[in-house]
Amino acid sequence: MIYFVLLQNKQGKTRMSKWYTGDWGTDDKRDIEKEVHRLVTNRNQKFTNFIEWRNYKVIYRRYAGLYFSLCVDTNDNELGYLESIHLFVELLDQYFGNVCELDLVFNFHKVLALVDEYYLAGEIQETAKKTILERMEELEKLEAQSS
Amino acid sequence: MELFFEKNSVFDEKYQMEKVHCDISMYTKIVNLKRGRVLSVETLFSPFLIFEVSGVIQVKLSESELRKNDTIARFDEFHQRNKECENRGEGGGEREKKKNSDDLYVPKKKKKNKEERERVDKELAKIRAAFDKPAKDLKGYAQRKYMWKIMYIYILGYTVDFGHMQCVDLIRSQKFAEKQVGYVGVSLLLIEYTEMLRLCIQTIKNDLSSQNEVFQALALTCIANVGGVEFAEALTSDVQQLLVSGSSLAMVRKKAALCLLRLLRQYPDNLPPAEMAPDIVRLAEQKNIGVVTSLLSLLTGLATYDNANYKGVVPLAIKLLHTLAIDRQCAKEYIYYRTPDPWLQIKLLRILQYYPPLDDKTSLDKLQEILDRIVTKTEVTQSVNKNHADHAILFEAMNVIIHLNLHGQKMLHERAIHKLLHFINVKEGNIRYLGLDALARLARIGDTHPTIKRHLRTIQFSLDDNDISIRKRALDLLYSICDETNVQEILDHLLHYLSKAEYAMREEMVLKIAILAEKFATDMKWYINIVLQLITVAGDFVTEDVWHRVVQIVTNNEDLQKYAAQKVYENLQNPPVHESLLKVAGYILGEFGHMLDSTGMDQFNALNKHFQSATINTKALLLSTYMKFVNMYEDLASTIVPIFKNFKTSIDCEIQQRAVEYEVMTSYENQELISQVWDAMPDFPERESNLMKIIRKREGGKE
Repeated sequence: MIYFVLLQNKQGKTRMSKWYTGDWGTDDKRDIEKEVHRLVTNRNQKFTNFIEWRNYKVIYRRYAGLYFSLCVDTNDNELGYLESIHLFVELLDQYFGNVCELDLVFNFHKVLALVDEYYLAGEIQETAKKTILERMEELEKLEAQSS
Repeated sequence: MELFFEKNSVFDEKYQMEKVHCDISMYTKIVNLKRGRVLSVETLFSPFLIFEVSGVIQVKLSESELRKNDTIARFDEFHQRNKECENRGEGGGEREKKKNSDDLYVPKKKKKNKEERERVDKELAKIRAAFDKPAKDLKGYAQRKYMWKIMYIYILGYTVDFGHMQCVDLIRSQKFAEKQVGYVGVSLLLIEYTEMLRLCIQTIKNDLSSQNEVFQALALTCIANVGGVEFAEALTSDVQQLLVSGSSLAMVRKKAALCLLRLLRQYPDNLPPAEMAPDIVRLAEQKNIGVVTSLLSLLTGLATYDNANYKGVVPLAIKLLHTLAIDRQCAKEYIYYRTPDPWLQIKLLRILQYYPPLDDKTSLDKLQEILDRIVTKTEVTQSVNKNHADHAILFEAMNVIIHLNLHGQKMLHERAIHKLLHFINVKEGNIRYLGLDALARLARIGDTHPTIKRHLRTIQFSLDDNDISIRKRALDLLYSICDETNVQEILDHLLHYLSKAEYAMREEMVLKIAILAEKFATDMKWYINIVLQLITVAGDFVTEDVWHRVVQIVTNNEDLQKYAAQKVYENLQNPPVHESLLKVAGYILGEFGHMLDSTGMDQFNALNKHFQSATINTKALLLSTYMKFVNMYEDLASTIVPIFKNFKTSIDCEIQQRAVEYEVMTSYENQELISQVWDAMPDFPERESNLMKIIRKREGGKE
């Protein structure tokens, strides 16, 4: 399963985090965010996208200035999760239109809603971009109607 | 990176430069680059940013520079203009696409930490005051805005200790926007406040049974994000109902499936009743692939906790895999770079590993066909993403093959090995990593070793790879293919590598080397050499267990004793002498030093010169050794007894006690009794090596 998803920029600011386990309290989470940031930013570009950390694996990929990290079980399918990161980026790109870091900052509530349509309970919920994006449109309509 | 320039450029009088707006695809929006110079920056960014354009120019703008460019001022103005346009009903300025979100926020000026902190405190105070006012004063929009702000501040890393009751209230609202804020607030802010969570349970129950799929979805998502024992106890049966009910929409059903999984992981005792199992399995036949995807994760979880009841999923999985992998039939939106839903294929292959191979031949044949197709027909193409997706499926298929072979169903393992042996030579790191990983697991199938061992050189080469992830996998693989024939070669290589290895890997390497040496040593003397070498090279990582084991073996094997004593004596002469070596030497010379040609005095001197720099524990051990020497060589008494006298006043009580007692013993009248006390240690009883226990525990954690 996925234990957490982190989007961090090169400076170490966490742009989005999603935790799928109650094992860690707020302080632990902050420490982990720092640790993971250190791990992924110190890796050479030519290295694999997999880091063995504690008794988990961190699958990560860098897109421009943002690092997308997924913490999963050691026996999970690494390449599968790596491509799921890419699908997530494509989702963001299609949803925001040429997405940039700022979009994620100003629309954090939308990003969280998007993630909740894609991953849930630490597993992949839905893999069709069309379905997810249509649902996001529905949610936007509902929000506009009821506010 | 592509740059799109707007058709009109404006000549900026103030800065005497061409000002052009441009957009960059993917993640950085910067403006203004012409002929390699940054002309001006018009961004909505926080002041400290590094811009990288075409890999040519890197410009870091400090806040002062941005102020000089009036960027922050322009930002405020821009935002103001945007808001006015909204209110007038026109399209927002340049940010037309994003107008929905902009008006919920005040400009977030993220300056240096202190200023940010002050800003945050100011906002929090304002919000706190607003919440303290009577509830009716707070209009819907304002309340939501404040809640989002609180959440944003929390995400930034600040502690927020109010707003919780507002969440509990908001989820009760029948307006979607308010309920939504409430639920997100609950899942972000209330996680560690279990009493508050309890207050939400009734509302959540109402939403789950409300027949309104939007509310159901909100509630399910919140439960899945929060988890926790309270929710698990109170809500599992409601979620279960939604999952199997005929009237649930597909969208709700898939959320219910994963929500249930979360609750089960929290509280595995609360499994669905056995009668429900066939209904849940049958849901996997649904047309909606999203539902099937989510459901498979649930079924995998259920297979872990309640294996027998869910084995009906296996034939379904094989059928679905056949459709995807062989027929390549799949709804259009689920095709990813020309591969039919790779993640679904992976999940299907995964769940097959939870059950032993089926008895019925048709299913087995089908499965073989599927696996064969995957293993032989996966090719490398130009598209990186397609390659990853296809190889992800391939490696999962490998896992299935290994699983089947380990359960007695010999199938395709030759092909699998050859493919993997090819992979460990490939340039791309990810594939090499996965190849090594899969081979280590494949090595558990009995007759694969000969084939793998022929490639020992390649694997050893990987041990030198720059990437530590690959090194770890190589170490694991070497460990699993080690046996009597190649143990010497492997251990030589490992020891050589150990001296260059980094600390993260050393402890594990030491453990594995010690175990391999003990398990496969044909020559015990060689074993002792290896351990002594280990201590010399990586002494800090040699735990007590390692050298205790050596002592056990030497004590129990008479023909080793003289050799061991000789070896440790020699090693003592070569500085630097590690603490552990001192301990081993101390013990062994004490017990078996008398077999050597060298005099007691020589041995004593060899040990004593390191005495001062030793730790308390080692000193204590050495004192016992000295006592044994006194018992053995009478001429040493005059040298050693003063040492005991010296330590009678030692601060450490263990040392003091030993010194006092030993001194008494040396002058005790009944020396025959003393001789018996200090006779050689008896054999150790045969028990399992502690080292094996440690390694097994570690591997248990990984599986």
